[in-house]
Amino acid sequence: MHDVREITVMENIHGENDHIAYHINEDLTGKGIFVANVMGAPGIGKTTVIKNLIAKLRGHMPYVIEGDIESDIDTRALRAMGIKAFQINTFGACHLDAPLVHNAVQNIEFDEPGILFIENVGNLVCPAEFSIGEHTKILICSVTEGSDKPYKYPLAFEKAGMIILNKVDLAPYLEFDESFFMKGLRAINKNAPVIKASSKTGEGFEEAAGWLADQAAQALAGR
Amino acid sequence: MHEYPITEKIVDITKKHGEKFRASKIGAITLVVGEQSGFIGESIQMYFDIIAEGTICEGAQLTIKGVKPQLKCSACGAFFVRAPLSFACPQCGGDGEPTEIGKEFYIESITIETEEEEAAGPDGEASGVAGTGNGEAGSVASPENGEVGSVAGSGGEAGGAAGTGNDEAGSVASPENGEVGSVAGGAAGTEGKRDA
Repeated sequence: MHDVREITVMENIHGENDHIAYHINEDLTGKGIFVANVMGAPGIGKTTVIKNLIAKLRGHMPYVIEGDIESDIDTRALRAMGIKAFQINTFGACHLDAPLVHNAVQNIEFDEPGILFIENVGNLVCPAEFSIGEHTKILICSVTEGSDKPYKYPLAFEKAGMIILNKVDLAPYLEFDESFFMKGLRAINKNAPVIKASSKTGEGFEEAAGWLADQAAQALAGR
Repeated sequence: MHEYPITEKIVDITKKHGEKFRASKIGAITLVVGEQSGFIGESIQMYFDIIAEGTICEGAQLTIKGVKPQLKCSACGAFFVRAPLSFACPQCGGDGEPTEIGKEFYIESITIETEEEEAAGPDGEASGVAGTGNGEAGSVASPENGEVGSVAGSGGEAGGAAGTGNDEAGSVASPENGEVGSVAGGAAGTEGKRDA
């Protein structure tokens, strides 16, 4: 004889990931580390943007975790610049999740307070769905991607704390419809600063770094 | 690839709840998967059959309730499903703001089978047994049937709210920022699989 019953579960499947992300954030906040989750499509310039932000963030000790499916090219380049950089290879997975970041963070010695950039796997979709312990998400997009991206990938734009519109030096050669881009972006994200930047000319990075420093000061105040 | 580890998580959570009730077998699992959750029902189904093999979940009927994302008009307050390449409200043209409707990703219920002499209440306290489908502890707010309840958040917290028509209702504790997000009220319960 069998007894068959329906059990109401109502359990968030992301629960464990979010729980670990919460503790990463708590732990790093306690150490005076502000965490920025850097998202964007492959080739959009995430690593170069991070390098430029670090150059402008004087007085903040930088740390970088590089998330890539394979290789440690970016990590080696950052280390060659004297930046404390660490590699996560996902070997196929399209995003970082909290357990991966937790394992990496456990092995990093944070000698002093500062800013940890976690460069997510190049992908405009999945990274936006997972918390990894960050204080803010920085979305890197560019004029080369086309102006319809907020409409096609709304979650990444919705979740971003700051949006860097990169490669603006190329705008004269492209048909990037900025008003269409901004209309879509502002419908779903009213507050994030949108900063036009060029890693070629250096435009925009002073402002972006200033915003990040302000956010870090606010998040770490009273810790 | 993306769905494989998350399907392992679904099997783990189901086993945990089944074992709490000393289930010998899981007969059915109902998932709620918002179309903006980033997960594809068909892929979960495919991996589920592989991952569940050899566990009490083997052979369980997986039902996936899809939820269409809805925006809320910042001008008139209407909830709507957006048209391609637009966030404009179809009623007044105002900007649609994101809601939590369409981002759901949770296990709604499971059907367990127990040997009669072993049938017992839960060892733990987390789950409620749905008696007659009219909503006991732990069910999400839905305007269709007036259920009231909550989804367990990851920080061990849980929130709840009543279903009120097309308002967003039911809350999930978000550990990222301490804010309370909401679980779809108006959209929950729409059955069907999403397209990739």
